[in-house]
Amino acid sequence: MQNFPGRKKWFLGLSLFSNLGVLVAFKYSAFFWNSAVLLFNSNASLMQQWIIPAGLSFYIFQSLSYTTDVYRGKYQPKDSLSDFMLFVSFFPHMVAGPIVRYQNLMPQLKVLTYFKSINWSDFAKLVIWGYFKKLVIADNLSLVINPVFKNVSGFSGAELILAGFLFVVQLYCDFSGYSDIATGVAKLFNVQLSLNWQRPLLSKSLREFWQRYHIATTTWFRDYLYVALGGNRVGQVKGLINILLVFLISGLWHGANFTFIVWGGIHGIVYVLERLLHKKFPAYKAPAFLSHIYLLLFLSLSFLAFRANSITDLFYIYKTIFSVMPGYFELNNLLTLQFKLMYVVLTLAMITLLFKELNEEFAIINRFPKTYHYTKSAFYLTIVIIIFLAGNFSANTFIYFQF
Amino acid sequence: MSKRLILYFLIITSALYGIRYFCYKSLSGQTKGYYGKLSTCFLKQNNYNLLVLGSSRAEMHYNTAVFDSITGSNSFNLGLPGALPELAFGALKAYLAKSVAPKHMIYELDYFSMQTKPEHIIDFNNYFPFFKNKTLLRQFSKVDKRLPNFYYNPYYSLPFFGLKNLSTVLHSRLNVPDETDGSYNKGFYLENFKGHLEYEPVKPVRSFIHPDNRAYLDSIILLCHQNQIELTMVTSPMFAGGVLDVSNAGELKQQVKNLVIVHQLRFFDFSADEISFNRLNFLDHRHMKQSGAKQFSCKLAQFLCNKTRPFTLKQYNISKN
Repeated sequence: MQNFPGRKKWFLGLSLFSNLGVLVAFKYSAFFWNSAVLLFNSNASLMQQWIIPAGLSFYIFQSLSYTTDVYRGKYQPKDSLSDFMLFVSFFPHMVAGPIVRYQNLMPQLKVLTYFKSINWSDFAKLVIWGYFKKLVIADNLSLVINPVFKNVSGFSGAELILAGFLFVVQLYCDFSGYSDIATGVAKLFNVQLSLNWQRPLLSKSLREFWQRYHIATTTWFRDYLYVALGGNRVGQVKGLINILLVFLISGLWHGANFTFIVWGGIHGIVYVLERLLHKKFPAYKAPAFLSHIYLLLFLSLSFLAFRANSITDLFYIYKTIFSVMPGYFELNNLLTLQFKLMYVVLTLAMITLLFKELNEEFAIINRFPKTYHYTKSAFYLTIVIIIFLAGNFSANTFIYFQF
Repeated sequence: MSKRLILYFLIITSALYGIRYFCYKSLSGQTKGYYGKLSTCFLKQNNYNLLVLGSSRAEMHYNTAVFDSITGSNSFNLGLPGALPELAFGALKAYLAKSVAPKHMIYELDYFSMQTKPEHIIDFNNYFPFFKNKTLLRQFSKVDKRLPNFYYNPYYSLPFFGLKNLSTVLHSRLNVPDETDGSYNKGFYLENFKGHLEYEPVKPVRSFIHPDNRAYLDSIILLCHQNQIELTMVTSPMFAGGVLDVSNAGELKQQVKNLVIVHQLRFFDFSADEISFNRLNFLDHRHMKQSGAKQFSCKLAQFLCNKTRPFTLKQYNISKN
């Protein structure tokens, strides 16, 4: 691009084609082919889904952001191929993000201070807390949630909503747990990865939620898709359509399944509605408690679409939830899926998560400087022991590896 | 910083050892359920006169209560999940290290599953509390080389401990009955699965008896001989006689017959008994539900007693017919 400025667009096109081509071939070829076969009632045989390389999207997004920024003239492409490859595939965050921008990561990789003057305390805190979220909360929650989505017809409306809420917590802990571990491991190389989570479950609106949830990917979609579509510079209606489009594409990015498109669509519509309401009543502020309830209920309902195994299952789930029938509030089936101690541990672990998040939000422990260090040490030591005792070590993967 | 790291490491290590001690002590003291069975087998001194040995098929098919009521014996089921001959041999040796040798033993000869020699023990973590029985540790370590490390190092073993076991520990310590307390009766697994076998076509495979399994069968026979245990080999029902899973069942049966002729043992093959052809009796192709197990145990016990006289050991001769 630098040597042939007149052909910048060609090079960008080539980069987009090669990167997105790989993504489409692996993730969407079977989906599009099979949808076409079913739509046109063709006799052609259905295609098997390919095995997707772990974290494919993340390193494609990372390299796309680089070429787009070079095209936009943000920086000069002066690094060697090996530098570029290191930037794209820096192992701690390779398989599930966070997606780090070139200007944030590359200068750090160039300063060779690996294993020197490491902040062991930060490393340990991040890794321990990441493992707690992953092994104690997310993986134990999966033992309760997976049977629900395998057999959605066996559960009441209230149980399905509760399963949706638990899935939101599971997804958050699974993904942010990975990010914490990745960020902690990167500290061994004196590399500071971008902040990816800011306690999203404490948000009061969907707009705030998306400012705090999976920040690296959300901002990637904003900078490279929403802005490329014209952003909000193209008038109000078109701007809102752009938002909707970004959510739909982000839904499709999560997986080649109509359920993800529904999930993206629901989030897009509610996001747009919130934005319109905010514009109409800028001074109105709903009570905080009600706002939290609204968001958690919305997330519980919408993430059912994210987790449902098929569109048929999803319609069944929504039909059960939105039709009042006898036994709607019964929780027996859900509560007998596992033994009692599992529910006790999960409840205590989620309360711990809540307190930790509240502490980070409002800096509660910092108000007691005399006991701060002892409390912190005791907390992390206890967490290590709990991981050994209550962690589920048999689940071998992270949810976002598949994306 | 390094001083603090060492201090933290010591605190965590001591805590893990302490927790491990507490948990193992609770589990090894169990009298009911799964751990009650393992505790009886490997830590207590027993005087059963009939022992059932084998894999999960033994554990789920030989109803000891039915046996005792029909034969008048005092039986115990030592079947362990995934116990091929090497593991079964280890379990028997560990049992004999603490208990009086039984007069009779039934070995569930599952000749349909002898083609492999696994290097890992299924649910190996469940045996940790019972490795106070050093024979058990020694024998099981021969099968699964990881066990000594796992046993002595809580950093390895506790992640495998699991909440389920912790639940049993707490129930035991708080003296609160556990749901699984009644899941075993004298070693027999009282499963309560609600479903039954849904037929799914599988391609039968050609099987064989792995030389190591054959060698350990010989070891079991020799150990019984040394301890003056009268050994009877039995193959319990397989769904549809096993022909859905194994293509050369007849050939395998002939090999087993050769083995029992060489060692002059009794061998009763119920794999293709009429019980085998009712899918309602089965949980999967290899395991029967309680209903099937009851029918089989009844049939076997009556068969061994020749249906008429009370159980005496001499009557085994009747079944030679």
